[in-house]
Amino acid sequence: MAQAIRTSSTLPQAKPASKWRATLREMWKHRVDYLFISPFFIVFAVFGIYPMLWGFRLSLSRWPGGIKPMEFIGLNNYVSLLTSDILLGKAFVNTISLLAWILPTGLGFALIVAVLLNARRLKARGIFRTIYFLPFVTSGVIVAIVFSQFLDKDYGWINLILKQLGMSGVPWLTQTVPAQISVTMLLHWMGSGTNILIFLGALQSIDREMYEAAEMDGANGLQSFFGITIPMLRPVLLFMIITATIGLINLFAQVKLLTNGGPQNSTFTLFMRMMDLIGTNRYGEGAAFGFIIGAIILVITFIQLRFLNSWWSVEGKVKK
Amino acid sequence: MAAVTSMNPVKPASAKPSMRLSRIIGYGLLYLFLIVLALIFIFPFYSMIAGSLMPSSELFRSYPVLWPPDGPSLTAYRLLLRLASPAELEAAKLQNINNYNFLRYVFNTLLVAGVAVTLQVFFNTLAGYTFAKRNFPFKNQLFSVVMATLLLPTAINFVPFYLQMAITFGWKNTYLPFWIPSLATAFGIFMMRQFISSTIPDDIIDSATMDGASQLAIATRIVMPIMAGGMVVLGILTFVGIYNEYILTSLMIDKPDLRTVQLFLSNFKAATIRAPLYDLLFAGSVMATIPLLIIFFVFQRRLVEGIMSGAIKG
Repeated sequence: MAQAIRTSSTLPQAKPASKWRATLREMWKHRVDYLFISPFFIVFAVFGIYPMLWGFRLSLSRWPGGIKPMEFIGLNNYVSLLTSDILLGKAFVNTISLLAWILPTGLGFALIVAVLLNARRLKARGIFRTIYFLPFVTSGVIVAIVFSQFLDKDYGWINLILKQLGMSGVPWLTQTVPAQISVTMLLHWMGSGTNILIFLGALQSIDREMYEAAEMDGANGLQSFFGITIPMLRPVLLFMIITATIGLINLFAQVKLLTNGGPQNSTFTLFMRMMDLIGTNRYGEGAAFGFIIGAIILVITFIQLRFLNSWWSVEGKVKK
Repeated sequence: MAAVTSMNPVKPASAKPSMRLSRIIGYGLLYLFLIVLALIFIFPFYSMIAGSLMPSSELFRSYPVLWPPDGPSLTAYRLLLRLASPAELEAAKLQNINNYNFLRYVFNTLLVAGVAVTLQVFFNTLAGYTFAKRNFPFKNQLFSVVMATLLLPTAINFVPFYLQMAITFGWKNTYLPFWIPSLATAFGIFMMRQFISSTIPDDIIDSATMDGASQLAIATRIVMPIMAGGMVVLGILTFVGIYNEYILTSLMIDKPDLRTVQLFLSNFKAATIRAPLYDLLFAGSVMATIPLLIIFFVFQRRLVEGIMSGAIKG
């Protein structure tokens, strides 16, 4: 604090050349601070930036690994992936439809549960939120094992119960739409707890007086929900939408073990394509694919931000 | 919901009894919903445990089996832990089960996650403290760089990163890919910065500086003890993430002795895809989850509050 004051009082009088020197002296004085934050930057340069730059060169090359030199082929990897890779197209469509389905249902569900858990006179709130958060400790592999038993066509829990109720079983893992529903159920089960907790935390940070004031003005429960709660949750919602999007694009273990991308590639994910390319030593295409996924995430995030912004401004107008 | 929000103090007194009734009904429905939901969240755990205690043939029946009909049996656990009697081995038709070393895989996983957590928590707290409490040139710009890397998707450099690990550094079949590249993480730095700037008063650090304490001493003797709670939250999030990691593990580890639990379970499931040995898969899953469940319940309160406190959201 004291140092900050000293610099701000000396800097304005200093000439440009000595200003640089003063900054350098200031930096040298803070060398320990730079040392403390340096691990991140070193690691990021070596394991983040360097592979990214090298990967860009790789994405313009054909290289099956080993001692063979990289062969420069321009944008061919990108072109062939984008125009003739049917599996990539399939994975892309699957990811988009999963996103379109899972974001509203998952976040909507978590929000409803969080609002209910936030009820003023609720007892045992702590127990409920702990239980809902429990799936957090499971891994994608283990969840896939448990769900593949649940969803077995002949002996799975769900179909046995349906049959007890006199209904016919559903081929959960062997038909396209049920398989997609199965993956969605698994992801909801795994991920809802964290979302509920984040929503609950955000709800509890909203000042109760705002609701009381709205009530005085004659607002009913729904009006204050859409007029106060939702706008206050905006930053949290943005955070959750972006993390969920990135999570879905990295989706691999659960689906690999539950459906292996089938049936008819209906649950094939983007990351599965990535792992295929690595597994078959098509590194140039794999590197190009990485940049394509990066671009996809960028575009999706941009659309989400635009969409949310316009949605919010409409909300604001309605409120007035 | 309606019952919860309709508690209006300025209503006439005559409305009270019916209000109270509707509130009771509202809360009754609320509890019912929350309890059913809790059962849905618990049931997979229950079925995993129950399934591990009976031969997998019991799971292939035409009606749901909630509990082992012949009483619980620990055969699956004994088979995995190489404690099975020759008779049990014979009955299970799994002579090669003794090629697996389940405890070793648990140990490997704990080792990978334990070292990674220690390194990450230490370096992230150090950086988080520096960004939260120190003033130095270009601090905000450097912090913006840290935050910007959060938006970089893993996929963007995944293939070259893999090749770097496997070929350039030759780290295949070591655990270094889980330790070194994530020595310090943007997520961890951000989280610790949030925790530290909201809990540690500037006075403590200023007075320690006046007393001539070194930066390292302030960070390790003052900040870290106070921040133990926050470090535990970050530690658990990291630990669970690495303990359950699958993608990088499956690319880096192919020596059987170095396998993690997740890798073993996924290999074992793939190897028995036609007639899954659910008893063994479930027993393995239960044993793999136990360390995490212990951590979860010991630090449950702290963890839940850490996540709710908003330290992890942008």
